[in-house]
Amino acid sequence: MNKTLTINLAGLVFNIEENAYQLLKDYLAAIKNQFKNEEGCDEIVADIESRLAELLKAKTHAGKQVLVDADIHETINVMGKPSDFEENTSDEKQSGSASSNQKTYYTNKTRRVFRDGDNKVLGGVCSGIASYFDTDPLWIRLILVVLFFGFGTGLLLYIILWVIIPEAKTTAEKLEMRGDPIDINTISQTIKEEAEQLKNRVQNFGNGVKNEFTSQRSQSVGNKIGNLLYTVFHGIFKVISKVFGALFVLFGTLLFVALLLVLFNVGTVDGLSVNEFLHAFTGSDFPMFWFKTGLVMCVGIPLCMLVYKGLKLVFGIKTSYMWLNLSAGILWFVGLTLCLYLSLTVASDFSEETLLKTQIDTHFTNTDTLFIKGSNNYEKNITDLDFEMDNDRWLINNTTQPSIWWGKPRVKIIASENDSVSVFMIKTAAGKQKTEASLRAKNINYTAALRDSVLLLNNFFSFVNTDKYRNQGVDVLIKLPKNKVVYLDNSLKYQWYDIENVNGIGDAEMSGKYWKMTENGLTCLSCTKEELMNNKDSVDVHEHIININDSNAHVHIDKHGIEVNSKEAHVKISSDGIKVEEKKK
Amino acid sequence: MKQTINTENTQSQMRKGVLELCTLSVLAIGEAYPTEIIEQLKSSKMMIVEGTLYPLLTRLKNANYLTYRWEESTSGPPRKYYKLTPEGEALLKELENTWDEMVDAVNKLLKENKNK
Repeated sequence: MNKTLTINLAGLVFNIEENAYQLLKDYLAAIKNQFKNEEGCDEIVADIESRLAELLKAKTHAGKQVLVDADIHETINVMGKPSDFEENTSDEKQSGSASSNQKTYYTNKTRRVFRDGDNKVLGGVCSGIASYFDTDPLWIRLILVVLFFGFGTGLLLYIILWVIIPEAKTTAEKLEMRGDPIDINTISQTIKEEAEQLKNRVQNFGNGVKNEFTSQRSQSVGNKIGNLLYTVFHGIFKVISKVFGALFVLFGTLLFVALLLVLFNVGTVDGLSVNEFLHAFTGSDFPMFWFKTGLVMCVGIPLCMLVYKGLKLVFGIKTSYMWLNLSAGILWFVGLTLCLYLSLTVASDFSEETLLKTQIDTHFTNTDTLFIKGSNNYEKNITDLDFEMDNDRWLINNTTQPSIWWGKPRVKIIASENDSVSVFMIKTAAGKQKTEASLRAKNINYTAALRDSVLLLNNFFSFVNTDKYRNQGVDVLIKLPKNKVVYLDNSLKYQWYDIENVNGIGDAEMSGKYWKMTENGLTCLSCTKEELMNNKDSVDVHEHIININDSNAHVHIDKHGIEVNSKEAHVKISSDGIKVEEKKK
Repeated sequence: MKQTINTENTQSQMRKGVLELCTLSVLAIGEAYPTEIIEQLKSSKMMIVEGTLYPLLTRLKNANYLTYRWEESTSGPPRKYYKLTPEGEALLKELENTWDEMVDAVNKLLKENKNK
């Protein structure tokens, strides 16, 4: 005794045994799978079903109403295995006729990119890509030609593509070249088909297991979910990898163009062209050509590889060339070594530093106020300075030959140990050896002069570019005795450097005011209350005195007590008691 | 073992190659539905398995070499009666020429080599 099912095949009703049904179902699924990428797949399957129905009908009569295994096997033998239906015939037909409708006639596989040797100008790259995107090769060629004038990127791209895209040699590859375009539709189609197949497989598996252990069914359900998830994620991953591939190509190409632009002297670093910038550091004896070659290799090769991997992702190319990866790696390493070596030769020029300290003659009587002013020795405004480095502002004047570096000195005022004013000028520079460094320091142009009670300081120091930039700098150190009053002129607003003062006022704001050197340090004589109060968040701790400043209040603590002065109130705590005064606006 | 499989394969390849021509030739006489075509092909021993015919018919139809009409059947599912289009007739002529040339060429070649 066997269980039977009733099925409808091409409009005819059959009674069929369960095992026979499974056989028939698998057979039809296999046929469907065989033609899944073909136009008219449903039609072919329907025709075959219809013929199967006819054949099976002949197997039944009044005395035998149920279809069994043997019937199905015989019918399948007549119809043939799905693998016998197809494949090889298409090759001959394809090469036989070159009519325009062959494209729709025999498309059967997902499209892949190949070089089209039949329509080539150079390597068939453009025609291959054009057939991938269903466009005229002319457009792709035009784009590459335009890119070629963009610093030769077109040529580079072409060579990369030529190397990585295989040529369509066999007929099967030529078919794949013109196969179904890859878009969201075909991808979702593939996912759907795979999921369906999977479902069938899992069902079969489930049926087989059912008879043995019911407990194992859960495992098959688990497998089913796992496999389905795998299929779904595989599809999503495919789409994402294409998006990423496109991004890789885009950014890789853009960055490579940028690299070439920079090296061919188009970009600027803080207003200075890259070549000038490099030359300023390296001097004329530096092998700039090799450095740039190294740079192109070191930065360009990873970018090329990025474009390469991106293209592979976009076009789904799986072939990888060991020799390509290897040689790219070696070239990159050579480039890196070259860059590092040349950079180190420059860096070694910074290894030794020297100080050149000179004292400027000063004869001062204690009663005079000392005025410190800048003697502007550079015609440009300080804000025009060209680029910033190491927190100093630098400028290179290119109009002269050789060009001249202009830099900003740092002026500092501290308390003197004795009763006289003394001014020191400290020139610093670096070099491979001490002698080289001190020669550079000596070559720095900077003057400071005293006229009556005015100390005139150059706003800038300078040196010629033949000396190269090797950490040159000038510090002016002014030592003031106690009770000495000094006026800091506005002209040196940007040159004051980290001058400590009792009031905690910033360097630039110290300009234009009178200051007195007291026991605690420089104290402002001409500052307004607002200025004293506006100093944000400063805490000064001196002997027996603490000053706390922020934008809202000023707190002063000394041996007499505590005084708080804010916009709203004035509070004083002292031996006299506590006094609170509210301020009204 | 492997040798026999290869021989079989070559034979079936040969048959498949001319299946298109034979099908067109069957239809040149007049309308026919797949089972009729199959029977004629089988009688002249051109058919290996029936399944091969259906994709071929669909493709030829999609490429405008064939058209068909439906006809109800008393003994089974409705039938598709196929007919050659003018393009199909042209293709048949072309393929016939190619076939004649090829048969001549192959026979000549085989004879020449046998006589050596």
